[in-house]
Amino acid sequence: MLSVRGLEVSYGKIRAVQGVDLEVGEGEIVALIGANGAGKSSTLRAICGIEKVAAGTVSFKGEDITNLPSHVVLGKGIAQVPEGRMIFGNLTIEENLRLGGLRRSEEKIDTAIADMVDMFPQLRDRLSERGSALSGGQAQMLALARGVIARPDLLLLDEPALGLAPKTAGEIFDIIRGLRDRGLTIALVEQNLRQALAVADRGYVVESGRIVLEGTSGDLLANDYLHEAYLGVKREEA
Amino acid sequence: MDEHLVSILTNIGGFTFIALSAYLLLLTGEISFGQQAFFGIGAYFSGIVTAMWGLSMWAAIPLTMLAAAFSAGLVGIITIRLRGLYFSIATLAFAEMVRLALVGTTWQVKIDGEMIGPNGSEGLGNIRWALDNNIEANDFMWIVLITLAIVMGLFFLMERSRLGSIFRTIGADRLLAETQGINVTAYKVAATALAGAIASLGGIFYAHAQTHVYPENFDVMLGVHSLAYGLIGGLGTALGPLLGVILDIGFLEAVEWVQGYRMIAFGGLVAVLLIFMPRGILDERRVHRLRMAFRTRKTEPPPAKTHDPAAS
Repeated sequence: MLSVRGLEVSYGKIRAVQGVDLEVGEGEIVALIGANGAGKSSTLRAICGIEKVAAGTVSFKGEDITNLPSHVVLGKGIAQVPEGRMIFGNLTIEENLRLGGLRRSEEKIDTAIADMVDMFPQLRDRLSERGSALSGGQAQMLALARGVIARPDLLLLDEPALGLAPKTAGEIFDIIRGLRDRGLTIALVEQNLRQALAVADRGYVVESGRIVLEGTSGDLLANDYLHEAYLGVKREEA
Repeated sequence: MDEHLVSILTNIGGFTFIALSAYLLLLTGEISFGQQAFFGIGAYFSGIVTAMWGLSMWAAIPLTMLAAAFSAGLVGIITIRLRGLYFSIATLAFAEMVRLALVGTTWQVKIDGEMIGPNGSEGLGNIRWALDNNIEANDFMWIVLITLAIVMGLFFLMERSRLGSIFRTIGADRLLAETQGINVTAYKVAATALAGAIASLGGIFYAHAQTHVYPENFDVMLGVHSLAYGLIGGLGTALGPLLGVILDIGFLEAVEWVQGYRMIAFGGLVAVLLIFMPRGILDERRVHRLRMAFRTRKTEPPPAKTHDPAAS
């Protein structure tokens, strides 16, 4: 579905992404794992048109979408839930959700909102409240729901559990699993190796802007280097 | 109605248009110090249309709004890559260019033995459409206020529509707005053009109420006031800029004992509000609470009827 070849992203003289190749197949959850500053988020942002691609190509369903503006990329079927539970605090929760469906008719948005409050019951009785009234976990659920309302074919999630309590983070990953079960393809950026690979089918490990490892979640979880580098333990101890 | 009151209400109406134009840009996250340019373009262009070309003010309104929207749209396109302070400075520079261009422009023609048209720093006079058509000050005030009511009504509709959410979304976070599929560039140019057209309405009424306008009427202080009206009144609703204008023109300018201290009081009010209510009196949170309270009251069931034996 998504194919990235030789992707490069630069910020001035700094090359944040250096020749990344990755594939995301239909119905998969693919995780990009790496430490802070590894280039994961830059890769995601370049795919959806927020960052300029300095070199390489991004194609989606066989169509070249390299450097298309993000509103055009969304129209092609790629929605993004940015890092930091970014919601619009001055808008109500319902208005936030409606923004996700800007390209859909009012009736379809109404149906989609009803569907979303079934999936996220925490939002049901709070539709008329302002976004700023939500807790961190609820705000992340709203951001996820808003991304899904756009009815994308591919959903890009940037660190969806960042800064959340473990229980809430677990709920978020359960929701992500539920979205995949509904047929959505997901590319996920995450620092937490265990959580990411527990939900993903495959993963890519990014270091210093390059893919250093790739494989199925099972293979990556069994990798000695990842255990030492990301979990700080040798595999026998884990 | 008392002549002084008519003049104040006409001014409140006229200046609310420029306040609304600055407010619209504030919604999209941009601070413009240059809305006085479009107020001035509105005054001069409409004055030329009625005084030099002999058309009515009703014809001048759409023509002037189109001209102002076009010039504002051009400014929007030129400044599209500028944000924050840089956008503010660019709009201020444009407004000063317009004002200086008016000072340097003389284009007069003889009509009925009189020289009519822009005459540099002497301004543009003989904008007599209202006088020639026997429109009394009281009637002119109603024209201004009814037009304002229509524009405010359109603002309320806009704020409850997708367009309103899009403008507020762009103002809250441009990048996040882009990820929601919003073509930020197109909407920002559209907002700039629309704001220019709205500001020009104020200029049209100002010119036809005063009958003579000067380039100095459209200096930077008018731009600062237009911004301050929204910041004082609040950015949660289009009523905010109106409230700001009422506080300034309706109170500080109209009440005799404040008049000598008007600018001091106005500056103090802006400073105090920016500290304690940075998004104005009717900010988003307060407006949301009011809306919720109103909605709750509307949906509350009527009190149950009880039988009072003493009444029967």
